[in-house]
Amino acid sequence: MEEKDLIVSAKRGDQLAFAMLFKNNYPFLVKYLIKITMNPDAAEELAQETMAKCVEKIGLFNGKSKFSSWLITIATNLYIDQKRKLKREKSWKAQEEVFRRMQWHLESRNEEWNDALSALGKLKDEMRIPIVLKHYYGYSYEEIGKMMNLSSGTVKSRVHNGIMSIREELKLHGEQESAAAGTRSSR
Amino acid sequence: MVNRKALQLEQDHQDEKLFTAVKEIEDGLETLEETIPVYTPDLQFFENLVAEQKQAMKRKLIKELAIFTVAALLIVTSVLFMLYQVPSVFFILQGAVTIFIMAYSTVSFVKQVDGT
Repeated sequence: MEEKDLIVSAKRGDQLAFAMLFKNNYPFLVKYLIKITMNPDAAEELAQETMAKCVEKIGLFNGKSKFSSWLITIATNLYIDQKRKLKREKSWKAQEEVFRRMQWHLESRNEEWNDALSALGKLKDEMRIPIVLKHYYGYSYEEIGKMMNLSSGTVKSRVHNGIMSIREELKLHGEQESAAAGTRSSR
Repeated sequence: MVNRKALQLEQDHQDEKLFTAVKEIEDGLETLEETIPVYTPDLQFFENLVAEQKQAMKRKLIKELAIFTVAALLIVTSVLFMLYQVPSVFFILQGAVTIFIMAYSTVSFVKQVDGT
């Protein structure tokens, strides 16, 4: 069955069609949420909440965009709402703990932890989310604006400012490392 | 002319730095994509999730309908009770509500005009 047929059946209330749609899009959704939350556990939790919301709102899906894009729109708004309502803005210590876990995870698989990821994680959600959507998933500023209920100009400036902050952070990190290397060599 | 050239060079330098930062972000995200394992549950799990959500929606709808019905019955009962048992209170209330609505609309309108 193709995705369009599954959506039609799901709209009619077919549970199996819904389940197949979710199963097909689950890895994509969770991986997107990992990138914006930087926390695999929170990502899985949010993915389930997103799917529950999707069952409720399937009547509103007009089929103009891809189902996966619609899912990440719901997930993004759910994540922003939760952060706003529960004031889940984590303290720097908690954030650092999450990064350390991710870093350990990557290094245990012989992958190098990228400083840009730390810098990305330190950004506010309002900047991090558009950067991920634009530069990883390739959505246009207009599409991101529609997803986040923002104007395309606002999205563009947030992406630009976010990248500038990351660049500054990387520069700072580079300078600190070279200073440390200089101190070691002078000893 | 020299100034324009210098500006262009500066701009190119900025673009290059931004491009490098974007490349690093993309590489980092690609590593996350490839490295963090995602376990996809079986079809049964998703079917259960959908069934549970539908049950929850049904319960919510019944609850909201019940609240709406009870509230509507209470309002209609009290209005009818007042109309037949204490008509004076009924008419005073009607007048008070009408005056309140008129005053509220006027104040909102004046505020809107002042605002524009």
